[in-house]
Amino acid sequence: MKAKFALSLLFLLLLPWLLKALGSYAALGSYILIWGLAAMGLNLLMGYAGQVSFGHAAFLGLGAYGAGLTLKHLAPSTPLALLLGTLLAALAAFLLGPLVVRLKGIYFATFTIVFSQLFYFLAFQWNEVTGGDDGLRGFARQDLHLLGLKVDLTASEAYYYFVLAVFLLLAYLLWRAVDSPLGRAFLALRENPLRARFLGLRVERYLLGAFVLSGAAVGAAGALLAMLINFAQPSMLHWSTSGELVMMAFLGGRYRFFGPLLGAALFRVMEELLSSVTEEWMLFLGTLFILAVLFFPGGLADFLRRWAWNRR
Amino acid sequence: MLRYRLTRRGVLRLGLGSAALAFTGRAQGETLRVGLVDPLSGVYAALGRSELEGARMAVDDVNVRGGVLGRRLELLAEDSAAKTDLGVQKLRKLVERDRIQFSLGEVSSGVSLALSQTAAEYKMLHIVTGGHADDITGKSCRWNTFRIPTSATMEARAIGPLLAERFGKNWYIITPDYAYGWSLQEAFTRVVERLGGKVLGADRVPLGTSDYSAVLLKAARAKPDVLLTFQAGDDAVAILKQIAQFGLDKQMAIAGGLQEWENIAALPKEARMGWWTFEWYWLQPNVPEVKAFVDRYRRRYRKVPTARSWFGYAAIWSLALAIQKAKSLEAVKVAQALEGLELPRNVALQPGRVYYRKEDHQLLTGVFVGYVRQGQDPDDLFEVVRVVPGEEAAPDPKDTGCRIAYPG
Amino acid sequence: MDLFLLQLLNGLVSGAFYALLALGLALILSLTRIINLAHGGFLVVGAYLGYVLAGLLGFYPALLLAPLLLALLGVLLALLGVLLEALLLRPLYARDPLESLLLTFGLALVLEEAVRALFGPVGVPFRIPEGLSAPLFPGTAFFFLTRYRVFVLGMAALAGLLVFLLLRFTALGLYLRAGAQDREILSALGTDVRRLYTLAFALGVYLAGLAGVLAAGQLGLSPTMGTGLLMPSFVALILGGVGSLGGSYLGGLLVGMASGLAGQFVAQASEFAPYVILALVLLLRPRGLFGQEGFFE
Repeated sequence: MKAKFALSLLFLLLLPWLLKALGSYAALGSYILIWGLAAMGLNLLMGYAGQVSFGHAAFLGLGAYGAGLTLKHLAPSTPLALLLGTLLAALAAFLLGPLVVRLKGIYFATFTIVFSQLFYFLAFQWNEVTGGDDGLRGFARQDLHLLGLKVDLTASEAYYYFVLAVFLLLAYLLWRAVDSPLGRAFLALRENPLRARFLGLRVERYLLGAFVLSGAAVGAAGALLAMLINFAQPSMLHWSTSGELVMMAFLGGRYRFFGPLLGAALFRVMEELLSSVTEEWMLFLGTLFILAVLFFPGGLADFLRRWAWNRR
Repeated sequence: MLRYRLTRRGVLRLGLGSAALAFTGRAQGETLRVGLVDPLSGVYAALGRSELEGARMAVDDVNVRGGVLGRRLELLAEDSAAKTDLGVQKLRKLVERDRIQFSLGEVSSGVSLALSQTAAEYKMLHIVTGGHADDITGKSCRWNTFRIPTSATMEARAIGPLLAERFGKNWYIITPDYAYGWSLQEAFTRVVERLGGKVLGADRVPLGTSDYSAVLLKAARAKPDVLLTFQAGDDAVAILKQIAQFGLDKQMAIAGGLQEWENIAALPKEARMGWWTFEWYWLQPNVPEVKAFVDRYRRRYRKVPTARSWFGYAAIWSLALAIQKAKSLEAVKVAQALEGLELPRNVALQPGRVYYRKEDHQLLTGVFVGYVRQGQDPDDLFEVVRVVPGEEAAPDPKDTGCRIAYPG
Repeated sequence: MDLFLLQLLNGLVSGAFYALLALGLALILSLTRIINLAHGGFLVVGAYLGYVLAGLLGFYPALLLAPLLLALLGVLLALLGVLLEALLLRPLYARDPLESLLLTFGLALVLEEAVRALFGPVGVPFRIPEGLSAPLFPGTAFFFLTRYRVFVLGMAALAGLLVFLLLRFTALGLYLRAGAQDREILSALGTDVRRLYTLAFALGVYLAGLAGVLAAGQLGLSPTMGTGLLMPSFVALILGGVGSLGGSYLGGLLVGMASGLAGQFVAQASEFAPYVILALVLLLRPRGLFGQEGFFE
C-alpha cells in the first residue's frame, strides 16, 4: 500500500516530463488534476453520501469567478484567489444546503439542475461583473511569495506543481473527512437513510455537511481552473458540465477514494486524443458510460482492483 | 519580441534537424508555423471549416510564390469546439508543443478575446478571423491583435440608413440575450435614433430558444416598418421559419445585421428572406480577381467560398505581406507593419480600399448590404445592393474605446 | 383582443409539445420507475426519422400523409424502444432508480451524438406539407394560429384522448394502471410485469416520437432540439405530480402558458420560467398538483 502510494506520487511528480515525452503538453497534467479534484469533491456526495447531483458545476464556476474577480479587483495574490474562490463556493453550498437537503432522490437531482442553471443565468447575464457570455478575463495567476522567495507560476510546469501541491493537500483533507466517524455517517446515509435516522443520525445535518464539503472541494478546483487558463466563463456553470463531473466520478469508480481522479484522467485524455481524430468522441464516451453503469458500477478503479486481485 | 526557450531538447532538435538536412536537403527549422484555433466540430463547425479552407488555400498560394522571407509557410489547425477553455488549451499546445509563431482564430467572439489575451502572454501576434464583438477592436483591443471581420457597429452603420430610407424609421428589435446581441441592439438603436427614427420595442430572447411565437406576437402588435432579428445559426432558422409561417414578412420588412451564406443555405426555401449584411460575397461581376479565386476554390473544395473562407485567406496573406514588409519575424515589428497595410486587390477581392486601421487594428473591409433571393446559380442566394466602404461603416476610432499600448 | 389572452392562447398551443412529452415521461415513470432523461433524445431521433421518411415517401396532400407518416414512425420508434429497453433497461428494474437516471443520461448523450454523427451538427430543413403551412387568420390578431399549429394542437389532443381511452376502457389499460399502482402485487398475481414495462416504455417513446416530428415542422430540426423541450417537460411532470398521468399532461399545457406569458413581459425570462416554477413546486409542494403519495419519498 505504501509502495503503491509512493509510486503514484513519483508518477505525479514526473508527469509534466512524461507528458511531453509522449508528445503532449504539461498543462494537460494540471487539467487532469483539477478535474480529478472536482470529481472527487462531487463523489463525496455521490459515492459516499449516495446523492446524485447535477448541479456541482455551479460550485466549479463560483470558484472560478471568485478567483478571477479576486485577482482582477482585489489583490494580485494567487493563494488569496484560491482561498476566496473556495470560500465563495462553500458559502453558496451552505446557503443552498438547507433547501436542498429537504429533498431526496429525483427531487434532489432535479433541484440541483435548477440552482445550477440559476447561477449559469447569473454569470451569463450579469455582464458588468462577470463579462457575460464572453467570460471574465483580464486577470492572470501571480507569482508566489514564499519565505522571501519568489516563485514564478507563469510557466505551465511551474503551475502544475502548484496545482499538485493544492491537490495533495485537499485530497488529504478529504481523506481525513471520509476516514472518520463523519465518513462512516455518510456511508450510513448512502446505504440506508431510514435506518440511519432510526440510529439517531441527524440525516439532514450530515447531508448538509457533505454538501458543503463537496461544494468547497469543487470550488477549489474551479479556482485552480480559472488560474490555469486565466479565464472564467459561464459554460463552467452549465448543467452539462455537471454531467461531465458525474460521468468522471462514475467511470473512475465512485466507491474508491481516488476513483474519480482516474475517471477524470480517462475522460480528459480520451477527449484530448479522440477530438483530434473524430468529432464524435462524445458518442464513444457516452457509450462507455452506459456500459459502465450497466456492467461496471464500480468503475475503472474497481475493475483494476479486481484484475489485480485475480492475478495473484 | 519572441521568446524562444533554449532547452537541451531544443538544442538536440536543432542538431538532429541539421543532420536531417544533410540527408534530405529540406530545411527542418526553416518553416514558418502559423496556428489556427477554430471550431471544427459542434454547431459552428461549418463556419470554422470555411475559415480553415480559405487559410489553407492562402498557404499554398504563398508557398508557390516562394514563401515568406524564404521560409515555407505551415498551417497547424486545432479544434476548439467554440469552447474557451478548450480553445485556450489548444493554443497553449500549439505554442508550447508545436512552436507556432503566429496565431489565428476564432469564430466565437468570447474565444477570440481569450485567444488574444493568451497570445499576448506569449508576446505573439494574433489575427482574429471570426469574432464580431465590438470589444475586440474596442475596449479590449491589444497591440498584438488585429481583426478582419466587421464589428457589430459597422454592420449597423452600413445597413441602417438603407433600411430607414427604403422601409421606414419605426423599428422593432428581437435579439439573442447575450453581450453580442445587446451590442447589436445598441448599435442599431443609435443608428436609427440618429436618423430621427424610433425603436418601438426590443426583446432579448435566450439563446437556443426554438419557439418565437410569443415574442413575434408582441412585435406584430407594434406594427413596425422593419423587424430586426439578430439571431444566428439554428436560432435564425427557427425565427425566420416562424416569421414565414405567420406571414409576417408580408406585413413588414424583415432585416438584421450580419448574415452568413452557411446559415441561409440551411434555411428551407420559404424562410429565405430578409435584408442583411454580408462580409464578403462570391459573386462580384465587377471585380475580375474574384472570379479566378472562386473558380479555384470551387475546383478544390467543390463549393462556393463564403465570407469565412475569405477571412482565412486574407488572414494568412496579411501575415505574409506584413512579415515581408517588416523583414522580421518579431511580433512587435510585424504588428507595426500591419498597421495601415493595404490588401492588394487579389487578396481583398472586393472593390475599394481595404486596409488595417492603425488606431484600433480593425480591417476596414467593405460591408455588402443586400437581400436574400435565389439567383441563376443555385449557390447565388444573395443580391448585393451596395458595398459600403469600410471607412464609411466604421465608427470614429475615438468612439471605440480602444487604446493601443505596445510593450515597453 | 387583449394581448394577455392572446399570449395565453399561444402558450397553450406551444404547451402541446410539453404535454405530449410529459405524458410519455409519466407513462414510463409510473410503471417502470425509470426517470427517462433520454426522452429528449428519442424526440430527436423521431424527428430525424420523420425527416428521412418524408424525403423517401414524397409529398402528398398533407392530411393523408402526415398521420400515416407519424403512425409508421411511431411503430418504428416503439420497436426501437422495445429493443433498447430489452437490451439496456431490464437489468435495471431491480436496481436503484438513480442508476436508471444515470443510464438514461448517458443514453441521451449517445442518441444526440449519433444523430449529430449521421446528419451533421447544423439543423436540416424540414418541409411541412403545403396545405398546412399557411396561417388560418392572416393579418389579424390571430395570425399565430397557423394551420400547422392547430394541427399540432389537434394531434396532441387526439393522442391524449386515445391514451385516456386506452387506460380507461381496455383490459390492457387496466393492467397498466394496476401496474402503476402496485407492481409487486400485480406480479404476484401472475401477470408478466416485464411485458407491461416494455409496452409502457414503447408507448411513452411513441409519444416522444410524435412530438418530435410535430416539433420538427414548427420549430426546426437540429440535434439539440431535444434538450430545449425536455427540461420544461420534466417541470410539467413534477408540476402535474409524479404518478399522475393526467396531471403531467395538464402540467405541460400550464408550463407552455407560463413560458408564453413570461415571454410577453420579460422575454429573457421565458427560458427561465419553467425552472422557477420547478423550484417553487419542489420547495412548496413536491408532490405537485395531482401527485400520489409514496412516489420516491
